[in-house]
Amino acid sequence: MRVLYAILPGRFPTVGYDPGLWWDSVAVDARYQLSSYSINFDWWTVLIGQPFARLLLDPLSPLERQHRQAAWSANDLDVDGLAVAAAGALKRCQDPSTYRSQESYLETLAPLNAFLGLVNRVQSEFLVDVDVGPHVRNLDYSNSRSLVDYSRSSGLLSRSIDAAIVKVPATDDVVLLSITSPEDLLTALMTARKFRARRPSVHISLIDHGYENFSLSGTIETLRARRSLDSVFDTIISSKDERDETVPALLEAIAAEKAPKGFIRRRDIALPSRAPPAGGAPFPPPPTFAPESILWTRLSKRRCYWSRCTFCSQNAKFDAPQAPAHSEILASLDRITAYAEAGYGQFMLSDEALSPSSLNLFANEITRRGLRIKWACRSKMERAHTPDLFDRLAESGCFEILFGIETISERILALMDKTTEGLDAMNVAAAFRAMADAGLGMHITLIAGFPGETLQEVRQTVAFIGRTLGACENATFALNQFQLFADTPIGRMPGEFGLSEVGKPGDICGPLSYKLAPALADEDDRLHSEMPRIRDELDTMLGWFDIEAIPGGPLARHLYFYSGHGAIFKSRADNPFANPLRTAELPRPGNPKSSSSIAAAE
Amino acid sequence: MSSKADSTIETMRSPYVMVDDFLPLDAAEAMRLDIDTHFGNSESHRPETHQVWNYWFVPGHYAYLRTTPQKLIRPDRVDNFMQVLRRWSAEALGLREVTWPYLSLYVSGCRQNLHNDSANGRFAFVYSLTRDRRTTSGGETLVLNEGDLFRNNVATAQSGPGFYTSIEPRFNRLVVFDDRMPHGVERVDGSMDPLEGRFVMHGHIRDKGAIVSGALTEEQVASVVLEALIDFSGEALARIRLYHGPVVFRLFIGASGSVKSCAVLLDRVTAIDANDLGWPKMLSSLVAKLTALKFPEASGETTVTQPVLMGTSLFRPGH
Repeated sequence: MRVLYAILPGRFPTVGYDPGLWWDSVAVDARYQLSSYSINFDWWTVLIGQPFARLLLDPLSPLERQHRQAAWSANDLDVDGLAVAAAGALKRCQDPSTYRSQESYLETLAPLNAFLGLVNRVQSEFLVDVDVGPHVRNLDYSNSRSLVDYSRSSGLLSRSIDAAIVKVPATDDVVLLSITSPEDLLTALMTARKFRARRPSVHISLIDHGYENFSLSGTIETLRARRSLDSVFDTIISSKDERDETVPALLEAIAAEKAPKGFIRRRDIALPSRAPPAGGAPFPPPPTFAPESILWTRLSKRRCYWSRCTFCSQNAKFDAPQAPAHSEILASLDRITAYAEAGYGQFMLSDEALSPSSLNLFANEITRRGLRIKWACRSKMERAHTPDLFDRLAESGCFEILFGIETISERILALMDKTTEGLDAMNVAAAFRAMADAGLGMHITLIAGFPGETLQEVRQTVAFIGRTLGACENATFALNQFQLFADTPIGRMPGEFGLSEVGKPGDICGPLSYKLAPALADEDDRLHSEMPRIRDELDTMLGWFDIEAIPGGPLARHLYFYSGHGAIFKSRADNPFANPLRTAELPRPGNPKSSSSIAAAE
Repeated sequence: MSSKADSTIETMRSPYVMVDDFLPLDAAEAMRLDIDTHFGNSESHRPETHQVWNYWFVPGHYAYLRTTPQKLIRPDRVDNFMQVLRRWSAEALGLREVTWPYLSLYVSGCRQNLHNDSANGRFAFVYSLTRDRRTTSGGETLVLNEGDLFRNNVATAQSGPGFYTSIEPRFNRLVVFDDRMPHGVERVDGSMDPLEGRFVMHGHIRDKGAIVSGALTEEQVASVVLEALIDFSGEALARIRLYHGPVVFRLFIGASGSVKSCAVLLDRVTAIDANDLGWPKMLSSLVAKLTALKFPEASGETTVTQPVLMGTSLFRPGH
């Protein structure tokens, strides 16, 4: 039986996402011919290049095409010229030499940045963004029926997916899909329809729907009752916890012509569990627009060990809140070793927060085994994050830790239920210095506008981050704005946080609207109106503001901060973006500084 | 002007065309935001900034609000729109005069009854800044079908689309139609909120002589083209009166002065008699004459876009 794991059109691919443990066992099961295909890689290749204009013009009559092209010309939009340049840039994203200097990276991204802007200016069906991929304008992504209805459309998005799947043979008996966002859900629905049209007998299963803040787990019963998603997918695996056991069982049931239908759990498949074949085979690195294969994976299927933050919806994906056991970490390391041998150079551990003790164990074991890998992780700042621990982590190949600092206001931390006894702003600053001393990079996330937070508190946090990160290398940050999600403590008790008139959640997880109590609303309005200025101030403090004015700069900054490209840079000893306050003046239009002087300064 | 090679030029013969996503989306959204801002914060409205609308009411014919767009939209944005429209019109239609637009607002009850603008221009343009998601209905531009609506349908039951084309006022859509076509605007119904209404910028497009780009000057071109037109008029003087409307040619002239090709960019010539079949032959004759022209030698190639009007002047004296 031929089984395809299809990577869906979505965010700009710079890393490979681990499909899960099920892959390793199914891949070595002789009954199945398992393969994967990145439709996403092909989709971006279709979008960023000359096929884009063809797809846009295809449905028009020759006269309409002539008139549309005349409109581009009248608007000074050189669609074909920019497409050629952008397609070249896309290829150069895979070339290691692109990442040698600020200048070469910015030069590479400039035409890509320009073309992405053009894609969003010359058509109004969807907005394309490197973070999410295509986002259809004016579509209600919180409603599964809206998505199912739209998935029948024959617009530009549909045609671009058609163009991206032409290389996928229509011979698979089973197609497995994973989604990470509502946008992915739409492309999954559209892709599923196309697979079905090519081969009506194919079984299409949505096997995973949990990533970061997104998960269908909280609304799975509503979705089951609405019969929307299962009108397109044959099966949907309800629980992410059970995915790795359910996928092999599902394949076995399909092979035995006893395929279940609809939302399924492991217990719905009556076949007895077979022992998985011995050994396993790693998920082969999918093509990406990065020069190195990076695997986005996890150490365990455990929730964050803290699991208390009142704003956090990430816990909805998994059931078990305990920190991973010693044996689990060792098993994960065995798997990572196999994946490193299969060609992955870097590992991004996306567990919401690994405890200091888990990290300590993981790092020690890497060092003991003499494994040479580069890795990054996420953690929650604790007193146990000592200089010694940071040294050990760096020694084992860790190059970056993400910390959700959120705010330095103790009052707001208490409201967030994220207070750590004995850990104040001074301790946090000391931890940052210790990380820098150990040679570790850091990505710091903040939340502004938590209900009740004042503008002054946000400014204090931003000033603190500006001061402390300015002295560090390889430090990036995200100043997020508070969003209300249903499946969170604050979403369950909005009144206790001064929230009212909370928007009715749809059946697809997403942020909810709300109103603040009058006593809090004015300050919150002021804070929101100041946010663009505060962001600019933080960028200025840390030397990132000027880069926005350089062609390619906005995209370069974004990919450096939030994609696998950042890992490529940060894992090097000579990262040209290590600290923009210390590096040479960035090249800007009209800046007489020559490229050679910039390179020399670096 | 970057004109397409003649072999790929399609002749526009339809009575109307639509160009979706006419402006870059950000440019269109900026203009719409100016409109939204104008209507926002109603407490701060002042006579000098907000008493700007002309309620154009002609009993039985027209009921809508109109103004000059720069009273709501930042002037440089309106200028940009006009510049783009002029360039587009020159490239796509071969007509380079575009009248300054009105900005019109249709709220509930507003409409335009059927009429034509035969005395106003060659083509009308309607550029929509209406929201795609709105709480009103109606506001479509209606353009009657060509031909004899009675005789063409005597044996066939027909309704709306059988008699006219209804064009939705989609955001950032440009509609251009033959000014001689009977047209109107479907009555808008629903909310009285102006932001839910139909906003369009509209005006007329006319010919204003040849458009010349390349090595030859306008003067060099005009005198040679005139030869062909005089020759054609001499041969077809009596029959020219049987036809009405614009035809636009695009000539590609080599450095040697020879015409490399002559394409028909637009042909909206209509016979007074619906049964007349003579125009295609006359058009071929005119194309042949233009193709045979010999222009002065020049340092490079030249593209000439030449409108020719059949029939008597469409314009009122002094217009």
